[in-house]
Amino acid sequence: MSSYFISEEQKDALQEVLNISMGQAADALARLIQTQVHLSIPSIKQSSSDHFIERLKNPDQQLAQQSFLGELSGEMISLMSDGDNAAIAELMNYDIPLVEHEKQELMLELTNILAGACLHGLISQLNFKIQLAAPVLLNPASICIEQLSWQQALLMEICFQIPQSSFNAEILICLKQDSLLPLKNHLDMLLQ
Amino acid sequence: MIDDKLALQLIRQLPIGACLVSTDYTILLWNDFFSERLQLVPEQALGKNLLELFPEQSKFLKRKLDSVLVLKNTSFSYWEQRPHIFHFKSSRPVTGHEELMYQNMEILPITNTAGDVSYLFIAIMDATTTASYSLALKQALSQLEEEHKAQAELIRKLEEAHNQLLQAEKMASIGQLAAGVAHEINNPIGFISSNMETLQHYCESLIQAINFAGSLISQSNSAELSKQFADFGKQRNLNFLLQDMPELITESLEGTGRVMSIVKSLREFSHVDSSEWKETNLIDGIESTLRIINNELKYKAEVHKNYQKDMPLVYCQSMQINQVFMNILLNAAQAMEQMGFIYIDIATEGDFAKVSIRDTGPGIEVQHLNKIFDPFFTTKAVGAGTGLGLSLSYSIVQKHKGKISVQSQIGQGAEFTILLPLHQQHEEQPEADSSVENIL
Ligand SMILES: Nc1ncnc2c1ncn2[C@@H]1O[C@H](COP(=O)(O)OP(=O)(O)OP(=O)(O)O)[C@@H](O)[C@H]1O
Ligand SMILES: [Mg+2]
Repeated sequence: MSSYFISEEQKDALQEVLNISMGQAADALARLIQTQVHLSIPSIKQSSSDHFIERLKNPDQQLAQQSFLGELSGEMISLMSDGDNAAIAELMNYDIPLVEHEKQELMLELTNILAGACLHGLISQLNFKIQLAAPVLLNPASICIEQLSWQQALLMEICFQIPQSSFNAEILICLKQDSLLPLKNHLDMLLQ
Repeated sequence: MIDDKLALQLIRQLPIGACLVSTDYTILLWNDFFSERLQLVPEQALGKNLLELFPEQSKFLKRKLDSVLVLKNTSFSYWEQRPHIFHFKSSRPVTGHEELMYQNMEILPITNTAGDVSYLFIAIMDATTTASYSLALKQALSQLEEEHKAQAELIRKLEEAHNQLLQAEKMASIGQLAAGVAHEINNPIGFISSNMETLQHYCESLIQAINFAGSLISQSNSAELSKQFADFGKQRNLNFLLQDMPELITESLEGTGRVMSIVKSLREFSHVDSSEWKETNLIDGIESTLRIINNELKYKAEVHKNYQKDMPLVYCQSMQINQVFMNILLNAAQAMEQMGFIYIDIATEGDFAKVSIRDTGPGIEVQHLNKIFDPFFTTKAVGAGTGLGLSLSYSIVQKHKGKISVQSQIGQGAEFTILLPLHQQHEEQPEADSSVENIL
């Protein structure tokens, strides 16, 4: 099953690529907000649609989504704790306290930055050309399994933490089975 | 291939705002969209620092531009969170009500061959149409929600009114039943009472006769006869009998009297022709109401009455006025937290008969004072009160061209005053409103 989906070799190669790009991302983020950012080692998983939806329905988190299109297409989802965001807002140079639409703006901007940083390394190493769409807020209640047209997807998970604040976020890079082909081709090229 | 001149013209005429800045935020390109809508010709913009040119947005713009510089990724801004980045005039000056254009923004990194960001491209898209649709939709949605709420409230009130009507119907039929029973009892109790009175007279004569016989026997000097009479009397307990018999009759007469007065109250109260206008003694009205609700009152309040002696009759619908008295008296009793007092005053005041009912209960809160006569206003638990008592009373008094008012201070009880005109124009009286009738 897993070999059909993505082979062990391909997975290892992808892991390598992701590890390098996360290093670059952490570096860029630290420069941008002048603070140390902790990134987890990315994990690569195959996920069923049930399991995927379950992940999104945790009530204590806020969701945003950002699509990328081009030679590789898929979506990124950011999951952020619904807690105190004053610290990160200050780091990001917002005037606190935030009003509602500023909170949304912060959420979207963080998604764009974190998801963009994760993706940037990946696509530049694998030499893809893509375009980023604007991030949008996602209401978990509006997602249901009947809407999803797939059974299995590839998820790349990265966790972010800023040690001096309670801020933490997760980014999921999601690729549907049918968009795996270009990824596998590029990985194979890298392996040769 | 197109030449530079054509490319430049193309950029100038792009239907989006296009602006290019260097990494130190100097404006290098400023297309027609920008210059026309901001009334800022290229000469006023080119070579200037973008952040200095738009100081209000400089913090925001710097944050966005820097993130693109560092991360080399496009950055976005939405009309929903930040509708007016630049003060562009609305794209719908004629049909729209928006004064300023709603904008989406993208900032794209332009990289050189080494992969470093050398320029930043700012693109502004007009989102006014989308925004105004979306905002109108939102507004319509919240309006719908409000209407829905109002509807639900209306349904609730209708249900309550329906229950109240059912209750009223029930009370009306109970009233009729009571009137029927009262009527049936009235005849037998009438002859029982008059028979008892006759019996009382007979009994008196009988006792006199026996006493007379006794005294004759004792005067006859016949020891034999006296002894026989005394023995007979002892045997039959004659002394006790003679003493107890009149008491029994008096007690029975009292009992029938009570039954008769209850029957009278019932008939007065639930009289079938209760909506009839007639000359009425308000004191009788209050008294019969008090008798009816005696059970509700007796453990809650001691009633003190002060009636003017020569109270003139008042032309009114006595039964409905009784209902007003009853609503007010019941409210007073229900408000009492512990045993208290109710003072009833009836007197004339100018051209009016004035009935005031004062209690020593907890009183009414200031913010409720102007609401208590509203239909459905109640502070009682759901199901305990309908909030219709006072509003019905109000409409009854209104129909009599009278006035009902309240005075209350929290902690000091409440006083309701009813004024009824002494000289009603008999002809002008409207027909009794059957919907108000009988609702207790
Ligand atoms: N004597 C009083 N003392 C304190 N509050 C009163 C008094 N009379 C009326 N109220 C207030 O006015 C409200 C409205 O009275 P109303 O008779 O119209 O309805 P209700 O008594 O609540 O309901 P229902 O008459 O159906 O039992 C009462 O709920 C109560 O809060
Ligand atoms: Mg009441």
